[in-house]
Amino acid sequence: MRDFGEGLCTYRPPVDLQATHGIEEIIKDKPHLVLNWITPHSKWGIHSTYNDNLRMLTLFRGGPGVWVSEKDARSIGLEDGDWVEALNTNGATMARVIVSQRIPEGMAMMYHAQEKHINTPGSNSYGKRGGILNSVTRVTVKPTHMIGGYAQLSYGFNYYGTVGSQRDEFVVLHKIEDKDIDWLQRPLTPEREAALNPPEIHQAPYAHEDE
Amino acid sequence: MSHFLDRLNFFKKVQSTFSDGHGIVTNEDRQWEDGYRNRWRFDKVVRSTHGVNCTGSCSWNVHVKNGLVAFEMQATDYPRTRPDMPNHEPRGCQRGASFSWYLYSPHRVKHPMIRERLVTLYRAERASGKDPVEAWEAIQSDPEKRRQYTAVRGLGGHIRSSWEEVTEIIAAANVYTAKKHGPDRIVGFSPIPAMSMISYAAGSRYLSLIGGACLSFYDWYCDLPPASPQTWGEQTDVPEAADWYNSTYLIVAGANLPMTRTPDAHFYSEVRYKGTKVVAIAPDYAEYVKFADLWMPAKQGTDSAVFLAMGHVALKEFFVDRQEPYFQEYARTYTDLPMLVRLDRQDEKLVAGRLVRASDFADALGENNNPEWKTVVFDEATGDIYAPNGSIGFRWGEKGNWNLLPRRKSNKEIQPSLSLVSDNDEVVEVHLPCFDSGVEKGMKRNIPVRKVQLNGKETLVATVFDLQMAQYGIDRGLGGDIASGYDDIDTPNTPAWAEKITGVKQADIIRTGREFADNAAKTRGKSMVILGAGINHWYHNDMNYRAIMNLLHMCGCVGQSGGGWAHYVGQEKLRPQAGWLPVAFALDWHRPPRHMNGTTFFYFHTDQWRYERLDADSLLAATAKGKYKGSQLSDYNVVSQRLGWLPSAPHFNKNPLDICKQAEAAGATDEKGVADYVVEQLKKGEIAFAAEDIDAPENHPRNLFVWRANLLGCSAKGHEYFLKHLLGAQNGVMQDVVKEARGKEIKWHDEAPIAKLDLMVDINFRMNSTGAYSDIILPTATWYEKDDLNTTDMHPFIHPLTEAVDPGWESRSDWQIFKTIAQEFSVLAEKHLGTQKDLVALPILHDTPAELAQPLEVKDWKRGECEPVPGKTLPLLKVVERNFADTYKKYTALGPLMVKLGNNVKGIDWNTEKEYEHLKEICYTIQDEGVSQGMPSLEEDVNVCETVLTLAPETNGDVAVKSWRNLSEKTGIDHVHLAAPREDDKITFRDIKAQPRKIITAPTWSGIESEKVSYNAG
Repeated sequence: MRDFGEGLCTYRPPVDLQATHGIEEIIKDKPHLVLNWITPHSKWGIHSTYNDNLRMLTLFRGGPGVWVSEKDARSIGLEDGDWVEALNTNGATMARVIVSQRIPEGMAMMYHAQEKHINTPGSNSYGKRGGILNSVTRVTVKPTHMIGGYAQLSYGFNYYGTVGSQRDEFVVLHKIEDKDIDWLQRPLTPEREAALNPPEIHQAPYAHEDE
Repeated sequence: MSHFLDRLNFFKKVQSTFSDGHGIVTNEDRQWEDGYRNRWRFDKVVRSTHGVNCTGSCSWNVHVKNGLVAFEMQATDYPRTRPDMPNHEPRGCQRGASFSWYLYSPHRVKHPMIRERLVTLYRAERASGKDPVEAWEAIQSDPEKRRQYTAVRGLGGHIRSSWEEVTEIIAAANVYTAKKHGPDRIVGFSPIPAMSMISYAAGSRYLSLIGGACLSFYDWYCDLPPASPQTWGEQTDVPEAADWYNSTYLIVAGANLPMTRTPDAHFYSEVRYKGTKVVAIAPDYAEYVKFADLWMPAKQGTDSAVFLAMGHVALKEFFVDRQEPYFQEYARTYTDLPMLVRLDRQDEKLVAGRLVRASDFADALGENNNPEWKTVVFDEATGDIYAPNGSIGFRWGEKGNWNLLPRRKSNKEIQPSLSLVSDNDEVVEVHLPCFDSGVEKGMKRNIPVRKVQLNGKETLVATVFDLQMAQYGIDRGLGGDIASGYDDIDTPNTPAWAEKITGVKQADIIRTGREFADNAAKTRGKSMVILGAGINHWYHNDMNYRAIMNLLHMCGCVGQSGGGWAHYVGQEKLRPQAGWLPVAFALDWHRPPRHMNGTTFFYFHTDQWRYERLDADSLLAATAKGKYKGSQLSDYNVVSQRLGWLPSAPHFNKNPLDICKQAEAAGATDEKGVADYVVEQLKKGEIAFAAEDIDAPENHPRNLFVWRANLLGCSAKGHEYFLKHLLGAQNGVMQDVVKEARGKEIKWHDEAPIAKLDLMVDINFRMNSTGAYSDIILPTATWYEKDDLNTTDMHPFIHPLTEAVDPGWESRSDWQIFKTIAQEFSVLAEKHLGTQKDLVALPILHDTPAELAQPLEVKDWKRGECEPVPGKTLPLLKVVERNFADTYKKYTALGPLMVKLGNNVKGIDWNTEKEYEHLKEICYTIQDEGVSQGMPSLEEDVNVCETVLTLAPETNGDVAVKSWRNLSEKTGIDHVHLAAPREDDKITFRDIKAQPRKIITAPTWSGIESEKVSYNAG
């Protein structure tokens, strides 16, 4: 705890997870935003429950939405309701943009959790089902949460230990034209399956290595 | 009669007019209106609720017509709490009101479903004459067969099967996995038991009986605030919603009350009518901001800077400019601010070292029991050093002193010194860490110290309070590098500095900090901070939270009605926990169960660690000793498992059943013999922790159960890594593994494995993203189709989920589903597993005497710094004998350890013989011959509900009194009077079906339930 400078409370800014590194270069010719990815609870669901329920789908816009500030949206020509893709090294997710004065600049907000199979098209970047809010996140563990055998700093089930934080993450967000939306509704033919699973994809060995 | 002709009179339906032709009298058929009337007709009303992860716990009336659920309405019959409080009801929100739609929706999972390719393979193997386990083995042993179904996960292809077939396949997979790889390769994920605790207990009981590992969830969601156990040793203990109404100053930060605590939010608006000021901190104009008198729009992730600056104001104005007597009294009695810290010299700089212990003194200050775990203070009157009551050393190994009462000497209370500012040997410069820019650059501060003899050497010591004053940059006339004023923009923790970081105006910070403290001083702590995910879901969440806790401690708010720390995210409260634990983890048959922390499990097994770009060294303070410098975050985690700090699953690179066999072959005759054998093998490197080669096939998890959850569609942070590595499905990971993530402790394979899981089973009532990727989907009963229990910390009541209608289609309750699996497992286990010993590596657990493991410094046996000693420098190594064929019999009966060993919670023990006998009467006893004959039955869901209610102090007054009596022995203070008035109360399932019942106060929780105050953490 002391090695990490946390014996006494001190201000620690969010950490840089470098998840947009490399992505921005690929997309540099297209108008895009780099935004802090915030995933709060939803008004029309409890986590993923109820969002997919017909009554709730009719009470809100239904399907995946990403909130962006008016200023940020204007800067890349986004209008309310446009399809956008949010991506970083972890993956990509598709949603309609909600342009709102509620949101400050520099932040994108996606409620969790909206189902992958409800109103979610394929992703422009890799051609597969458009992902969920956590397609662009990855957990990072903190060593001070691993301390044990030391009085109150001892492990307990759901009591102490590493936690899966996800708000220090950034995404690159860009507009997807309606004509580029792919709903991926083709059946899985042998040819498609072969294309999806090239032979070089390695599968887990089935038995112990020593056998 | 159809009245068909009657309806053909459209043109003459107007009979007459009135009011000068403004009104008409018509004669027409109005039977169509019955459609609407019938829609809301019903035959009966049954109380239930929604077992959803929202902590709402709202009582609902389910209206049933012709055996179908017609609609639900909020129940309005909560018992009243107190005359001066607003009512709790109506509870319930728009989401819950829509639940009945699910029962008959196209989303409903109606039948057992299985991936067609898997079942085709399985049927072919069975048809060739193999038994189920052999058939499963044949599929798993052939990479091409295995690939056929794993590679299409998530691409559809489920077909309807039967309960008989799918349970046979699941049981075969479990038996095969236990035999071949080890039972710790079978894991289960299910969140937050409190919302439907019997359904949770179903899967966890089955897994615990067969040696599977249950994964934790609260930490995985990042809803667990590590700052809470760090500070108080308590996981999360928060006020009920009604206590907001007792507050006279509220700061709400990162908890969207109207949106996520909808049924409770009325207290938030009602308290404003009493004149309570509300300040909201949020980067966005969130719903809760609308209620506030002041909005402080802090940039996301910077909240701690706002709170540190408010702390700066409170310290300056209430501890220096004037000394607020209440804050002084509180700090000395309830906080560690008077404790002494030694200053160590490091690279010529003085830095704050560890807390001084009684054992540092020649005579251990007369403390013979655990002196190295007793912190010390100066007596203000005499300057003597003594160990005040209440530190952890008093908890174990002695009785009567684990309390926070002021110590007495010669009939006089001893008062600890808070500060050495007016009575010191010298003022010295210390180096404190500072991470403002992300990189630690350090800061210098002057603090007052005294010289004392520790372990025979003269050592400088300071109080925590003086260090904290220096950390906050408060000017106390000691000179050096401190804040020149609130507008000092360069010195950390001033309001101006905070404005630079957060964007919140310093005038607002000063005013709010001052008002918050002033209010607390005038009301003895009725200032409250409500906080949640917006602050806790950050990497440095503990620092964010501790900035808030510090402010609350300075102002004496924690433990006061209407004040304190109100953390609301994922923090459900399983009120009858003590009654539930033995059922849920089969502690009535075997101890200990196997638990695994979810975050580490998924970080490792979905290979997210292989993509780590955060350099652990960049997190260290410049003055760090840096024993593990150059390590990866994943390396730290491996070391933590190796030292017995965090759990592991799988434990080792060998099957724990085989390890026991080998130990016995080597001459071990008891648990100690097995442990000695394992220690030797670990030292020789013959056995290794699974995490040390996490990607090796022998260390993969093999079977995963998900129930009551939508792991993949919701909480799977790093979703695409789950798809790629755990499932082998199509995924969107946009990068190759990060070579820099390669560390020292984990063997690196250039090629990362994919499709680690042989089998994923989803148990759900609706088809969602998790089901879409699973191999088998089992249809479960909805929240209106089963008997279960539900509690929350937002209100003090317990209420039921009830079987208002029969489970739809082929669905069954979770309890019945796992019972069915247990039955089939037992049949197959008879031939393939028999009775075997299982080695469980148990981490050093919180709330047990083992938590006093390494008091002064960390020693790592693998680096040769000490011997590997189970429970001290290594996990505890326990042996559990399992007759796998008895799994069903054990699942369905409350086992003998409840009588033999009794029950306990949080280190408090009591006898349960009386309750055990009582359960035999109300749940009946098992008649079948075998291991469970004559024991209370757990066959039906309602039996399980009654068992939990009978065993828990919160629902059985008799047990409450027993448990308080035990705690009294530890603290030396009589607590029995707290529960005595309700000693004869026994809350039964029938009671709570009639009306939600207020639970009985119990020592499981730090605060009390009472007729006089709302619950708040003590």
